[in-house]
Amino acid sequence: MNRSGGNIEGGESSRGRDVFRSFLKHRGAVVGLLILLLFIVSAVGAPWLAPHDPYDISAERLLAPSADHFFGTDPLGRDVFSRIIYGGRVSLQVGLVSVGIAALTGTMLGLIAGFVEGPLDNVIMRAMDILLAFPGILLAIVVVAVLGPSLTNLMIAIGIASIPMYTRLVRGSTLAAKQEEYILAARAQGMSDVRLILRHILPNIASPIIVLSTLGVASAILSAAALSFLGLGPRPPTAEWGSMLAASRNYIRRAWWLVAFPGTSITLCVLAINMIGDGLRDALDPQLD
Amino acid sequence: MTTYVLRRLLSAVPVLIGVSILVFAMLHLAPGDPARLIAGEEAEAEVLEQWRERLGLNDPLPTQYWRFVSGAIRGDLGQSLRTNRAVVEEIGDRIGNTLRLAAVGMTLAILLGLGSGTVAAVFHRRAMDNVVMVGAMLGVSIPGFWFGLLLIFVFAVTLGWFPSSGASGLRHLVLPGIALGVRAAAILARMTRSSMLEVIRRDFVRTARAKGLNERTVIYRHVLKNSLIPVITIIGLQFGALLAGTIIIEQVFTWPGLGTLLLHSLNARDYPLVQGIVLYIAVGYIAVNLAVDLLYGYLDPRIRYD
Amino acid sequence: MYPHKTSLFIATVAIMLIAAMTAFGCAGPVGDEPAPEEEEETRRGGTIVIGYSEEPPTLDAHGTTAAATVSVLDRIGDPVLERDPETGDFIAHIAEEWDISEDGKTLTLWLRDDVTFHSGTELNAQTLKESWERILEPGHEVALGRMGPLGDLVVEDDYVLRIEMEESFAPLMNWVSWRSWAQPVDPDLVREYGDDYGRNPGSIGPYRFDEWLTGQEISLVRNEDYDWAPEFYDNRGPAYPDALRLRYIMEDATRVAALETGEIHITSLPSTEVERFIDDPDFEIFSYPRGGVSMHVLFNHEREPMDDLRVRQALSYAIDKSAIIDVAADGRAEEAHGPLPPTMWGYWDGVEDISYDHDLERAGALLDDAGWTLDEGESVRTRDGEPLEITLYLTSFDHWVLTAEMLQAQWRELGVEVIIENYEWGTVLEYLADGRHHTALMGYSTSNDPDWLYRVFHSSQAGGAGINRHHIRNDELDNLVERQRYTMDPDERLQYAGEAQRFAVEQAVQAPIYILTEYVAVNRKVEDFAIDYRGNWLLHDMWLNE
Repeated sequence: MNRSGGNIEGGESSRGRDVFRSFLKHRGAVVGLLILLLFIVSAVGAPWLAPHDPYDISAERLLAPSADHFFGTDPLGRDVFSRIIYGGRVSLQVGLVSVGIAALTGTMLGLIAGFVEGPLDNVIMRAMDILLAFPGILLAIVVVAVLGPSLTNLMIAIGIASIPMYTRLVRGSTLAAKQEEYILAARAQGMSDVRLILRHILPNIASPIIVLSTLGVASAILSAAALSFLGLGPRPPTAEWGSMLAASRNYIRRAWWLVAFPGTSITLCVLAINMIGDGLRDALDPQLD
Repeated sequence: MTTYVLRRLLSAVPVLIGVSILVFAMLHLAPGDPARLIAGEEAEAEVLEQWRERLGLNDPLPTQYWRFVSGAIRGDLGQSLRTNRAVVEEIGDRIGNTLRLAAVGMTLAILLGLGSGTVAAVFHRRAMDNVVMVGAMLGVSIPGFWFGLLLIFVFAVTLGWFPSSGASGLRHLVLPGIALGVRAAAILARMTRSSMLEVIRRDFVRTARAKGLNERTVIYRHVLKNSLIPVITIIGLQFGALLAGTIIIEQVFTWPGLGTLLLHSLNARDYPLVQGIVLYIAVGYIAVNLAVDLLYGYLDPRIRYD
Repeated sequence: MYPHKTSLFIATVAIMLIAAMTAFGCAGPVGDEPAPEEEEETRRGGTIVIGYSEEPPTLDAHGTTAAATVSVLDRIGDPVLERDPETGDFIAHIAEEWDISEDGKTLTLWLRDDVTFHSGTELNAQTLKESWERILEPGHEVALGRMGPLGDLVVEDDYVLRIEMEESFAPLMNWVSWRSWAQPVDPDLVREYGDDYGRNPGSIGPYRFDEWLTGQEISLVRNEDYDWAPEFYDNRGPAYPDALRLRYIMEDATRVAALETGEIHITSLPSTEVERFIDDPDFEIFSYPRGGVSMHVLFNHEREPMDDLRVRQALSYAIDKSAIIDVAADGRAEEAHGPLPPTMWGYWDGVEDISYDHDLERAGALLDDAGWTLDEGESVRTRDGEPLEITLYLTSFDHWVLTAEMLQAQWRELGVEVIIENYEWGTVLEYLADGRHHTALMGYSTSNDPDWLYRVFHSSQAGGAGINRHHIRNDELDNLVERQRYTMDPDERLQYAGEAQRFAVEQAVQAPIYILTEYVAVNRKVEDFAIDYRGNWLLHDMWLNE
């Protein structure tokens, strides 16, 4: 992940325009962006867009999709369409918050490790090795199973599990950036460490972090759905796609809509974010490994 | 080379110690009392106490940890609290199933991934390329457990072609193998394609083409061979991810592997068993990563280990 | 009817079975005429596959009371006394005769002399004694807990064993007929395998343990020597199938799929699948009320505001049991009214008249009265500015979650905010012992005696010492459940148990909800499968018709 560039000096805005233009040329990315916008709009506007209260229990149980209930109703007579719309809020929240936790903590640790080096670096990287020594999903399962299932614990668990990715990336980039001549020069001129990090190092490693975070949101949503499916998701009656799937397994033949729509929603949402990530990757052209 | 391997192995030791402390601490500091689960929900305090005493749960945590570590060094991971069998034995009963499933998933992923990736690269920017790329994009986006459920109800229940559960023959491996392998296949397809496209652009390929070699020879003899190096790394990394994927896919197909055992023992707060399984998975994971590194160096002699 | 000296105890049993019979119709065995010889031959052979959701932790009869273990032990072992599948009477089996003393302290058993263990060793008074004494060894507390105040086991003769209890112990006969931990364990296998006996069990039943593929299945093969089937079976010799395979498939959907594809012949159905199978000509469906104590809401009497009778009553009135049953059990359950199941001897049917029927208005009035009022435009009641917010603890079993979601919605209608706290089983039990909950969902799979009331209501059992998860400490209730426990007169016992049940309902100590109905689907290729009135599977006449 050696970055060759000191290309950030000057032309910040023109580069931004370039990136945007090449992103727009990426057809898949644009489609992805449109789909994601749809999910975001429906999540934000859920209270106005949802035709029914997602928590409203009624005797109209297990109704097939109809004009009144676009996606049918669940065993408690709740409107599946409305629950999917509200479920989007949870999924996007999990994706953003857990990636936020991971990216912030990971970047911070990576910067410290790469910048300070020495024993502190060693301690941080050994801790990361420990986290990397078992699969992220396993770590998340153990954390949630132990802390007890809830939305917060879910986000924390998924976040923690993906910290090392960011730490490694940022540390590597920082180490490389430190060798660049202009940084050596800036240091020689007495620029403070914090300023150096903010002005020169962070912008230099922003692209890979952005791409990694975007793809990270997609995989966080997938992990969250999987954990919810295992019964480690948010507390009932929260509308969440993964737990909706888990709860509907017993009805798969009687009520296909209970399985079809939440699964499709997860896939679409993740697909959209992945396509955006791909577009960003091509546009920003960071050399991720 | 030998020193490199030795050093890598040695550096795994502190990592494993860290892993064991982490898992031990998480399990023991959390609520949930294995004695209560073993003695039954109707058990009285007195019976519970006898169980705690016998299971050593009343000892101070460092004592319990030391008992675990000193046993582990001797290859004894203790006994399952729930079944009273040796943890090593419990894991031994299941690990073969998980490895077999992972092997089938990986084989499918490699065949499908390399095949479709090659096709996409050869037909770059044509319909086939698009089909493969869209398929691959779907493949990395679809939740494996949902895909597994769909497979069960199409191929097991509706069509009746394959059994939906059980682990007794090759036929039982098909559906979970596909559900498990689809993600790795998609990633491999993308990797193979981009790696091949990169090689195609290189000079020696142009030279080969200029020499008038037919396209098939160029692709097989030169391009495929040279693009395999990064692909193999991905295969290694995906094998690790696939092992993790078994935890969830095993649930869907009730596959009697380490994943189902892990979830079961987590719920039962069967500490020694959870610790044992996590340790096994960590060791496997570290070993796979080491193997990938070594293989990489073997395939690409420019890389030196010092 | 009874060939031996009658006693208080037998009277107890008689009352019990009458109660059981009136409460439920019976699903007795399908009594075919005894098969002629050639027919007998055609019935032999084949392997019947039974699907279960839960794998046993061990097959050691003394190591666990897990239902999954019992379902295997029931195939490989036989109890010393049997119970008539239609009436529940004790009937001779391995013990050809028995005698129970007036004071209920001594039970003498006269054993058959032709019964052998799977290892070939003879079953006699000595080997049976060894078998039961094993329960006293450390590690077997689970079984010991059910055994009561055992004094001594005395071998009177080769085939005569006397059980002496230190105190009168009402459930003694019941104990001897128990289908798991009281069955004889093979002494040779115990000696050979020691701690590993649980993976290599043996007994005297119609099937021998063959192999255990962990996480997949347990296979059993026919015991050719078996010649002592109980009298209510037509087949008195060895079982018809060559083998039984017990397959463990946790996932309901997967297990049902396996039933449909013919991979398994017999399995219990999740209630959501019953409708689909009930008219399917390929399967026969059996049903019976699930044993144990019904699903109920525990109120924690030590936490505000649950210490207020009006609040507990209001919450009870606000529960619409039939709506919950529709959702959680797909309509396939019975409403519950009191702390004991109607199938249990000692059940007082008066609870049905005084239980709380759904009445939201009354519930609201009670809360108003208690000071919890609903302000205009608000959805949650408050008292002195404090919102009426309570927790509901549970573990994430499928129908429990549905039940909790329904309760939450129904109580919200009353203006009570409910926070669902779901944890895995072990954690929930610990939290309940600590008394963290306002309310909790609970149900128990075992219990067969009104002494249950003592265990869940007596103050000595509160605070983690026992299973009084209501944390109720009430002198009147203590007094009633104690009297029930120490009297030997069944009439008096019934009276105290009844009064305790009345108290529990009147004081809304808990809120009973429903008793699930169990459904078992049997592939039509399997003939003569039967179930007794308590839900025990009777499999000795069963054969595979292919």
